[in-house]
Formats: sequence, C-alpha cells, structure tokens
Amino acid sequence: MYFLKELSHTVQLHPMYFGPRMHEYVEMRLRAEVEGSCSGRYGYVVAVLHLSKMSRGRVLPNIGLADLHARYTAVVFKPFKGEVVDGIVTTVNKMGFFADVGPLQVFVSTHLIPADLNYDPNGDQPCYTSEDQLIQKGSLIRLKIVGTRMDATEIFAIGTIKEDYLGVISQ
Amino acid sequence: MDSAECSHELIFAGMCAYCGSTVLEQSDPNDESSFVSISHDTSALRATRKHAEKLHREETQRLLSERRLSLIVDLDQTIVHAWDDPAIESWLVDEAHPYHAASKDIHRIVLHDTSSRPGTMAFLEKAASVFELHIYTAGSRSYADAVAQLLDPKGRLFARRILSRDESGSQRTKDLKRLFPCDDAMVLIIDDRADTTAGPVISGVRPVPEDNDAELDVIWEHLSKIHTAFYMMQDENKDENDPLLVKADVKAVVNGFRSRTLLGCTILFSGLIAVNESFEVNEFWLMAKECGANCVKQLTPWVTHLVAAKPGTSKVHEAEDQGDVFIVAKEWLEESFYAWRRADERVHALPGVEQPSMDVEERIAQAAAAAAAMVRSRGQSEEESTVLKRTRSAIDDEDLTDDLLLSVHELKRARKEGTPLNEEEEAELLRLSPSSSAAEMQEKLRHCDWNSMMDDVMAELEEEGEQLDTETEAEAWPGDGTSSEDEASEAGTPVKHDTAASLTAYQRLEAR
Repeated sequence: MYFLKELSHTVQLHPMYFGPRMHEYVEMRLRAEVEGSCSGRYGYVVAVLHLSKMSRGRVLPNIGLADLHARYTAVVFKPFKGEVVDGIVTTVNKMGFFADVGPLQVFVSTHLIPADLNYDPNGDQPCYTSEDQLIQKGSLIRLKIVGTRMDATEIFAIGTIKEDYLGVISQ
Repeated sequence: MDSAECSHELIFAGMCAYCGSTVLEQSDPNDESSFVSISHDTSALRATRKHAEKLHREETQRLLSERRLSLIVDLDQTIVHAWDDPAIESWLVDEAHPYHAASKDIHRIVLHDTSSRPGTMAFLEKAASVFELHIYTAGSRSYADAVAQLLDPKGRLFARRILSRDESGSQRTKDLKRLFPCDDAMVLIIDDRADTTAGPVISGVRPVPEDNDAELDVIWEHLSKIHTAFYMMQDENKDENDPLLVKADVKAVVNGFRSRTLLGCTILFSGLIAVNESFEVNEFWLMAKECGANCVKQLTPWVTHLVAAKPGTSKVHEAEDQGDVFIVAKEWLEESFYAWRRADERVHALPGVEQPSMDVEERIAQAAAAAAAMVRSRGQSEEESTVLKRTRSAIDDEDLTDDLLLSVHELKRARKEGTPLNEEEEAELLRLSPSSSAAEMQEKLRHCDWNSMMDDVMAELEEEGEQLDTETEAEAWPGDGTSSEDEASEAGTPVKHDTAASLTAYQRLEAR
C-alpha cells in the first residue's frame, strides 16, 4: 500500500557547496540518497514529494563537512498481508514464479497457483498455461500477498493467485 | 492454507512459500527438515531435503523420458577465455590489422574481452540435444549472464540454469550439492580444474586454447559415448514396474571408460611427488590410478613407464639401466588422462634420455607376462606364491592399497594366462585384509573391478567366437558384483548397478 509519510534524513555537504545554490543541491542529494531505499519499518521510499524543513547546516569539527538535517514528505510503499497488488513476472520455474511489484520481489509457489495452470518447461521459455491463461516472463499478474518479511534493507513477500479475480491481467 | 497444518516444505527468504508464515531454519544441516537451495538463480528459495528429493525425482524422470543427462559447463578457461587487454581492441576495430581475422570469435562485454573456444557454439548446440546444460561459474552473476547472453542469445541452451558465485555460497569452490542436492548419478561436469569442483565426475579440459584446438571435439566424443553407455546401462537394468527409476550411474560409466586408458601400464614417478607428500593424494598418482594404471613407488621389473619431471634423477638412471622403461614427461600422463587414450610415448619422451627400442604395446604385454610369470612360479615346493608374499609384506608395511591392487591385478592376469589360483588362495588373499572386513576389501578392489570388466570386454571382442569364461571372472571375486551397490546404498541413493548387465552394455557399445 502507498502512504504519504513525513520522514527525516541527514545530508553531509562538502564545503565546496556552501554558497548560493546550496539548498538546491541538498535537495538533489536527498533524492539521490533516499529514493529507492528501503527500511523495514516504513517500506520502500518511492519518491520525495517536497522538503518541508531544512535545518541550518552544522559544520563538523575536524573535517569541515556540514550536516544538514532535512524533513521531507515522501511516498512510501509498504506491502501488507492480504493486500492485492499488480506485478510483472520475472522468473518462472517449476516451484512457482517470481514477480516484481515495483521494488518488491514476490514469490508465488505452485501451491498457490490454480490447479488448471500447468507448468511447461519446454518451449522458448518456461511458463504456466491453462486454457485461457499464460504466465511467462513479462506477464502482468494480479496477486494477493499472503506473507511478508522485512529485512533491514529489503522486503520479500509470498503471494497467491489461487482466488477469484487473481491471475493474469489481460490487456 | 492454515499455518498449523502447513508442512513448510518450500521457503522463500525465510517465509513458507505455501502459507506465508515465518519459518525458522534448522541449524543442523543433516537434519531431515533442514533446507537446501534448489534454484539456480536465487539462494533465497529453499526446500526441505524431503521436498528437494521429490522435485529431483520428477526432474530425473523427465530427463530419463527425454533420454537426456545433465551437463554442467564451466565458463572460464573451459569454453570461454576472458581477459582485459587494450591491444585487442585494435584487432577488433582495425580491419587492416593482421589479427583482425583471428578476432572473429572475440566478443566485448563490459569489463572483459571474451573469446570462446573454437567451435564452442557448435559444441553447445550438439550437447544441448542430449544434455540439459547448466552453467556453474566462479565468476559473478553479471559476468555469467553476459557470457550466457553471448553464447545463447535466445536462452534456448541454458534457459535460466545459470549459477554464479553470488548464489553458490562459496567464492572458491563449487559444490555439486548446491545444484544436485540429492543424487548426481546423471550429472556430468566439464571444467578446467578438478580441484575446485567437489563433484565426482569431471571431464577435464586443458585450460589454454591452442592453435588448432580440438579439445571440444574430444570432449564431445567422450560425452556422446558416456550418454550412449549410460542409457544402455539404464535399459539393461530397467525396472519393469518403474521404468523411470535411475539404475545406471555416469560416475561408473566415466570410471569405466577412463580406467581403460592406461590399463596394463605400471607407472613409477620421479620428481613429481614431494618427499613429504602422501602418494595417495598426489594429483599425478591419482590421475594415473584413474586411468587404470598401476602405480608403484619402487622400480620393479614390470614398470612400463617412468613419469619424470626432469632427467638426471636416480630413478631415471635406474630406469635407463633397466632398458625397458619408457621415460616420459608429465604431459604424457596429462594428455592420456584428458584424451582417454594412451598418448604417444615418443612425442612426450623426456629429452636427453635413452628410451627402449621396443614397441610400447609389446612392452606392456611383456610386463604383464612378467608379472604373471611371477604368479605362476608359486606353489613350487613349500614356498608361498609371490603374490601372497607380496600381500603379506604389504600388510606388514601398512602400505596396503597400492601393493594389494597390484597383486590383485597380477592375479587376474595370471588367471587369464591360464593358471588360475585355487579358491583357498583367493580366500587367503581376502582374509589377509587387516580388518578382515569384506566391505573394506571390496572398496579396495573397486578400482580393479572395473579394470577386469573392461579387460573382459576387450578380450571378448578380440577373440570373437572363442570361448572366454567371463563368468568365472565375475564370480571369482565375491565383491565384484556388489561393491558399487554397497556404495550406492551408503550414499542413500536409489542407484543400483548390475555389473553383468552393464558388461553387456559395454560389449554392445564397443561392438559398434
């Protein structure tokens, strides 16, 4: 699920940037450092919307760099158990398939794939097929998350497509 | 599914892939419920040993029904050669450059220049028809993917069966168990280094591509032979009730082929085994053993080859004096080992050393006869047979395996010469084993076992129509028929071999 969240981050700035366009530069650095990062608590930081407050810089003794403390509003993405998400299939093997839901890697095991979808290892690329569905690398898929695990820097999830209205999204 | 009822057979990043609940991994790797990696491209997906075995069974059944085997291919120094050299860029770009023509197999990928061994593409195409190809490289993931992309742009050959050091769990060594945790009876490996791969079957490749490099042709020849032999063995032993049960083993097939390479040769080493090094673990010693040669530590009348590092050692002089020992460089052994064919002694003769003038084949036969003659001279007056005496002294010296093997070999030859040992003497030989454990004895005889089988096959082919009593040979050694089975059951695999049946398989193969 996506949230707007107020977060803070400290940027270290080299003295060469102490000047008229300092704030612009800090914002650039902030985006580079936090966008795409992941914390177990808030999930993935998808995008920084705006900087709400920036502290005055504090020069660090001995090294001359300045610490700037920034508060910003960001879009964060955190998956929850029971949530239905859309993703793209990346790998198909006989145990199931992997799908990317944005930055999140989800594994859907054969156990949680409807029985009418059968694994076919032959052909150009391995896939799951039934009369009306084909799941292979690149397929768009709608799945429901049944479990998540948050690491300090990564989130993994287990998904299912064995329920109504889940599976390949036809275009 | 309810977490309480779930068997948690398959886990992804610490979660059960069926119910989504967090699963704690067993720390004891031998526990039945411990997890093993089952996927090439991620180590996050793991299954319980039991589930992995089930998946593996399905996989083997599929391979069997397609009549294919698994082949693990190493990249660097085996099928490709990667390096970083700015000079080569000019070869690629400059069409007038004298090396431009030679650079057609060179491809650029990020970081490296890569050249595939000549004929690699054709080799892979051919191999893919009867083997399921896997890549197992000590390189990084991105490198492996880049090379695979180069060799196989459509992903037909390797699909996603690529394992790099990022998923391997070890930077230096390759573990066959990582890919085939349950059973490796249908797995072959091509690698330039035998020491990094902890697998039983290795088709060695010479690392550096030479000018007219026919290495891959040789390997292909071996591979197709192995494939044919494997499925012959499988067909002979097929279980009627369960035709998709693996009954053959590529390890046995490869040993069978390779152990005929230097059959009958007795090899002495000079300057290749360090004084303080144990013989049994020396690479040359093992190589020669694998080729079916007898290895000895002292010069005896039936030594046929001396593999020496340099001229001028005392063993070289002694061998020269004996006059019937071919003194060769270590390349002779290496080439024989890799090509499964006894290399030409004249080509690899140690420079500056006097060589015997006789024919090599003749000399090998003669040496065998000499050994046999020793056996024949037994039983005169009250004296013990030489073989028994040697065996006794070997046991006293605790230098058992090699001398014993030699004795047994002599024994078999003697039997072929027409003077079989009587049963008591054979029993005596078996009894002399220090622990008197039949299983250990069988283990020691295992190597010989194959030799004799191959001997029989060859002899039978040569003397077609003539009567040769193979059955006595097979029955004479109680361990012969069962040793490999014992081994298999020890490893907990369902593999079973019927030596007699596989024998016929070889005969048919050789007859082609």
